Amino acid sequence: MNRYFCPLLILIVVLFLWTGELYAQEKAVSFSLPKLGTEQPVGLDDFKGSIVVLDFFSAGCPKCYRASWEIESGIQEYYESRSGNPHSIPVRVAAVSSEEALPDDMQVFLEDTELSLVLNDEKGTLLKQYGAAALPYIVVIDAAGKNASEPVVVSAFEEYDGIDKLREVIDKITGRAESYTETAVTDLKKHIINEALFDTSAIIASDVYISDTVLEYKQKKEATEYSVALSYRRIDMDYSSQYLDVIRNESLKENWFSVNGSVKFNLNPAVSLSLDGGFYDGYQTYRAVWLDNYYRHVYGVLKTFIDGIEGYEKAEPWGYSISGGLKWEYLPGAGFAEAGVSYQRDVVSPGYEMGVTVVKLEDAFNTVGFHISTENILTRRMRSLIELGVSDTTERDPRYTLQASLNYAPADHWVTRFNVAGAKERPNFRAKSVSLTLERDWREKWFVSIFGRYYEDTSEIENSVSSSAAAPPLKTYQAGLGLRMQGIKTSFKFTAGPCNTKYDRLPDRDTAFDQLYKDRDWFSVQIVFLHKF
Amino acid sequence: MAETSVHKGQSKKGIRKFMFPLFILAVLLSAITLTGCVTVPAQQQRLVSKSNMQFSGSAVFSYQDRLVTQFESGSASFTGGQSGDCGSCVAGGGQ
Repeated sequence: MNRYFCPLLILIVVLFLWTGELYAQEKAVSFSLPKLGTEQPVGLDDFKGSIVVLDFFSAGCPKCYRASWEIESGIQEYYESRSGNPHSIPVRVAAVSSEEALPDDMQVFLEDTELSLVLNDEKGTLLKQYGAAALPYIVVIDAAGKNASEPVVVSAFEEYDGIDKLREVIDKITGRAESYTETAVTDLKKHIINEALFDTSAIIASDVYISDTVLEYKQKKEATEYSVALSYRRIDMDYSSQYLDVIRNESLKENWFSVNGSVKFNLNPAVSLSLDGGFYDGYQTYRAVWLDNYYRHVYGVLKTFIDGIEGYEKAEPWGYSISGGLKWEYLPGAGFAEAGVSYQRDVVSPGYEMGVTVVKLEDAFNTVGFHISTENILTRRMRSLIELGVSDTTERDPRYTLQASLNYAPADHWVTRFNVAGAKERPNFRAKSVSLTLERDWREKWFVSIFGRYYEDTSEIENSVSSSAAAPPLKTYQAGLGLRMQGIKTSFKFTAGPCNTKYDRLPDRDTAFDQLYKDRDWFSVQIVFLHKF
Repeated sequence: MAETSVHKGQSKKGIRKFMFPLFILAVLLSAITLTGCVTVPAQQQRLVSKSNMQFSGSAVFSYQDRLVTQFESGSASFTGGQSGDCGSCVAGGGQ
C-alpha cells in the first residue's frame, strides 16, 4: 500500500495543476452563427485581424450576468477606447447564447449586460466543440493572423474569475502565436471585487427578544479571497424564578460580540484552501443567561441560611474557534467535494450543584470537529448537497450529524428547496429536522418564497433527572414568507414568519425551570443587504 | 455459558455503536459514487445555475434562520456550531 501512496499523490497533484490550461494554444474551431434575433450569419473569418473573446452564456445562469456585463464594459469598450491592445490589435467580444432561453429572461439579460454582439447557438453546438463543461465559458482567440498563422485559442476559462486575468492574456497577444509567453505583461491595476453585507435578524416572543446583526466585508483579488465579519447580539428577557419561598423577577439584558476572519486561496482552478478564525465575548443564548441568573438567585438565597457558603462565581463566557478546509471542484461548476477540520473553545456559564455546599461544574469546553460534504448537479433540474460531520466535545461522546439538501426546479420560474438533517450523540441525544421552501421568480429580479420547517430533539438529559437544568424534549414548528431582489451589484432579502417551540412536560420535572422551558410563540424576521463594488 | 452471553451482548452493543456513523458514511459514499457517474452538459445547466438553486453560504441566498440555534441545540451542530454555550445543559449536568 505504502509504495503506491507517493506516486498516487504526485499524480493527483499534477492532475490538479494541469486542469486549468487544457485548451491553451489550440487551433480555434471555425464557426458561423446567426446574430441573435436575425438570420445574419457571423463567422470567425469576420474577425480576421482581431483578438476575439467568445463569451458563452445562458440567460438563466446567474454567474453569466456578472461575466457578460464585465466583459462588455471591461474588454469590448475598454479596448475600443484604446484602439486595441498594447500591440494595437483590435479586440472584439462576441457573446454566444448557448442555451434556449425564455424571451423574458433573454430580454432582461440583454438589458442588464448591454451586450453589443450576441450570436445565437441555442443548441450549444459551438460550446460543445470548444469542450466546455459549464457556463460561463470564455475563450480568447488570436485571429490577428500575423505571419499568416491561423486563428488559435490562446486561453480558455472554465470559470470567470474577474476581468484582470482576461486583460493579462489579451495584452500579451502580439499576433505571433510563438511569442505569447515572451511578451511583457502590461502593468494594469489589479482587478478587485469588494462585497459589503449587512444582515440583521430578530426573534421575538412575549418575554424574550433577541436580535443579531452582522456586518461583513469581503475582498476578492486574483486567486485570494479575504473576509472579516463583526457581529452583535442583544438578548432582552423577562426573568422569573422561585427558590424556596423567594421569588425573583428581573429584566435581563445581555450583549454578545464576535469577530471572524477568513481567507481563501485558489491553489489551482479546481482546488481552494480556506482558513477561518473567530472570537466572541458574552452569553450566546438566552438559555445561558437565564440559567446563570437562576444560579445567582439560588446562591443568594442559600447565603442567607448558610454562613460562609462559597463556590458561585460570576460567569464571563467567551470563546474562540479556528478551522481550515479544502474544496475540490471535481466537475467544473457541477461537482464539489469539501473536507474541513475545526477547533473551538468555549468558556461558558457553568452549572452548579447547590445544597449544603456549592459545587461548580465544568466551565470550559473544547470541541474538535471534522466534516466532509459533496455538492452535485444530478439532473438538469436537480442539485444536491450532502454533509457529514463529527465533533467531539469535552466530557461528551462524539456527535454525528448528517444533512442532505435537494434543490429542484419543477418549472422555469419555480424552485423547491428540501432539507433533512439529523444529529446523534450517545447516550440519548437525537435531533432531526425537515424543511421545504418554494420560491418563484417574480418581476424580473424579484423572487417570492414560502417556507415551512419542523424540528424535534430528545433533549440533552442523560437520565431525565428531575433536578437537571437541561432542556426537555423539544418540537419546533416554523413557517414564513420571503422576498428577495437580486441585481448584478446589489441584492436584498426579507423574510418573516411565526415559530412555535413546544417542550414535553416531564411528570417528575423540577418546576424551577418552567419559565425557561415554557412553550413560546416566536416571530422571526431577517433583513439582508449585499452590495458589490 | 453466562459469560459467553455477556460477551455476545457487549459485542452487539459495540456493533450498534458504529451503526449510525457507518450508515451515514455509506449514504455519503453512495451519493458521491452515483453523482460522479452523471455529468449534465453545460448547455443543460440553465435551471440548476439559477441563484436560488445553488447552495450559497451568503445570507442573501441562505434560507436557514441562524437564531433557531437559541433553542434548538441540534441545529447548532447542523450548521457547524456546537452546543457548548451552556455548561449545565450537557448530559449529566444539572443544578
